Amino acid sequence: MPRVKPIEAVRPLARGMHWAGGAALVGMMLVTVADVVLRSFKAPITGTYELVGFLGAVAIGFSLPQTSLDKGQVLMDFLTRRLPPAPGRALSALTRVIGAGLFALIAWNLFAMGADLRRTGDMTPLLHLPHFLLAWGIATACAVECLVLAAEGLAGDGGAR
Amino acid sequence: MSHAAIGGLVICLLFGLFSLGIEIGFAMAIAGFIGFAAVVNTHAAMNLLAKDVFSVLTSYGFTVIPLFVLMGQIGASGGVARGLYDCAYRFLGHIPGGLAIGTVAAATGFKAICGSSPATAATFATVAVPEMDRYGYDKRLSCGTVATVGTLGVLIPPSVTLIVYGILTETSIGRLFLAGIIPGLLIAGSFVVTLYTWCRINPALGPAGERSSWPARLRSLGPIFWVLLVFLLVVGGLMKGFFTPTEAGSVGSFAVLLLTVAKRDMTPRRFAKAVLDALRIATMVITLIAGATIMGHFFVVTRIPATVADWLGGLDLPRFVIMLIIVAVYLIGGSFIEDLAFLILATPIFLPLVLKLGYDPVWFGVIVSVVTMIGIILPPVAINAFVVAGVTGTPVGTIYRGIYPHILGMAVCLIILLLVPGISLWLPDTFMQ
Repeated sequence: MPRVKPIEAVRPLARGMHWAGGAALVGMMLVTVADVVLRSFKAPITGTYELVGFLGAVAIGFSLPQTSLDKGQVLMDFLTRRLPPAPGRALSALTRVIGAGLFALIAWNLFAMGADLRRTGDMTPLLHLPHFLLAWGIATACAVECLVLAAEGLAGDGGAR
Repeated sequence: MSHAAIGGLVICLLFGLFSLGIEIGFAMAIAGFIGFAAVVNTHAAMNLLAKDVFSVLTSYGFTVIPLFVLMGQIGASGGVARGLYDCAYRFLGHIPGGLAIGTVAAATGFKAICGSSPATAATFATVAVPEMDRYGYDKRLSCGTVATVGTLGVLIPPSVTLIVYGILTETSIGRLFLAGIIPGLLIAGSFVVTLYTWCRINPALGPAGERSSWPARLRSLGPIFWVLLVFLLVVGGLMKGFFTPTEAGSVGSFAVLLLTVAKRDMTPRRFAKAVLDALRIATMVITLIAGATIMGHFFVVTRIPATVADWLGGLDLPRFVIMLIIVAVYLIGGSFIEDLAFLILATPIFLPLVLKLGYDPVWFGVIVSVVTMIGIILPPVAINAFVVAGVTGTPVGTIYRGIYPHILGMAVCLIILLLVPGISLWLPDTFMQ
């Protein structure tokens, strides 16, 4: 059975999340426009701010892995660009390991925070959207970002284009 | 170890991480986390990491960023820039350097709906450079101009930079938008003067194109009307308090979408691309903000901003000289680190000092935006030059040679804006007092 490279394995996951983020962004736009229009008829949509805040978190959180895969984050590479290929690749792998470590920490702590929010029953005031779901959603996105960075490290790929 | 010493070490660590090639947002988060753990404790730093990421991502206030970026991406994908360029070309194409001057005019109009600098540079590199090539324009002039005009979006509303500055400093985004208009037009004017003078000295750089008939010119005016309408809706709605910034971004995006659909310039594929591209840009910006928020909490516990304010404030220098030092720090910092990233990193440090010196935060927002504009095209980290090089296949060195004359004009405008704050503050003081 042919072995699938880790970077190829995470790509569809990142792409799917990016599309879900896109749907959330379009949703934010439509909900807000609908609220503005209905407000002028004195019939605003209850909890628009809460819903838009929720959708915003999904839009941005779920786009993190694809943004990394597309080299969309900003970094300073004018020093590392000048390195010969072998040390350059080693340094790239090191930066991916450090990044993966950061997102592993964030994901771990967000899962723990979500568990606390679930225990306390924390919800938004108007729509009663449970905050723990959002914390776990962002934690999942950070966990996938961790996998993306780790897979890039294994592929010897850095963050620069 | 004192907090100041830990602060110094963490800043060294931060620059070390930057030079390793770690993403700037990630590096700020890592340095802030380590510093916070050193000053407070590891458990508190772990909590900080989760809480800051959660609060930035779920904040309603930050939703303004993806929505305004979306508005610009829809405009870029839907041919709005081409329509504006066509109009400017009809009116100005027949004079020497006219296509380049037309690019400045069209980009100034396009900035009224698109707040992203690299997106504008990429759009006009696609639309304007082939046209200038057709008339034998020198690559320095065509590519240098396209890279430079992209920076106008930093100042002309709805600028993402001004939105980010407004969020970071809790300054009214409506006032910042109004404050950016006259300085933005002043700098656009400096581009026109530079191009006109350059082509007068060496007419071979930008040969004259064909003269258009008046009926053709009048027919080309349509896009200006639509862009002006969207601009008035967004900025006017914000100014009058009809919309929150997020609502203004949503209504603006929806209006540009309707406009491009009505003109049959938008397809589902283009729309999907605009949405996904907008998310990529917005995610980059919000990652920077999340990293800076973690770093900012470390700054708070070490009192670094207050220390910097006390130290610089105690130098017994005139406040204008201190302001020049701050501007120099932004300029040098922004030349090595991505400019928006440096603005996000440095503003919380310098703002307390700026306020202590009695400067208006709205005016300071305009000043750091102009410095950011210069930084975007100043080597060695000149993002717009790289974008235009990527789209047109022109060597970056050639583009830099076309950028330098414009930097001179921008520097003159910066000095004028520093000396006369009224240029920036007149509109917000008149309409949003």
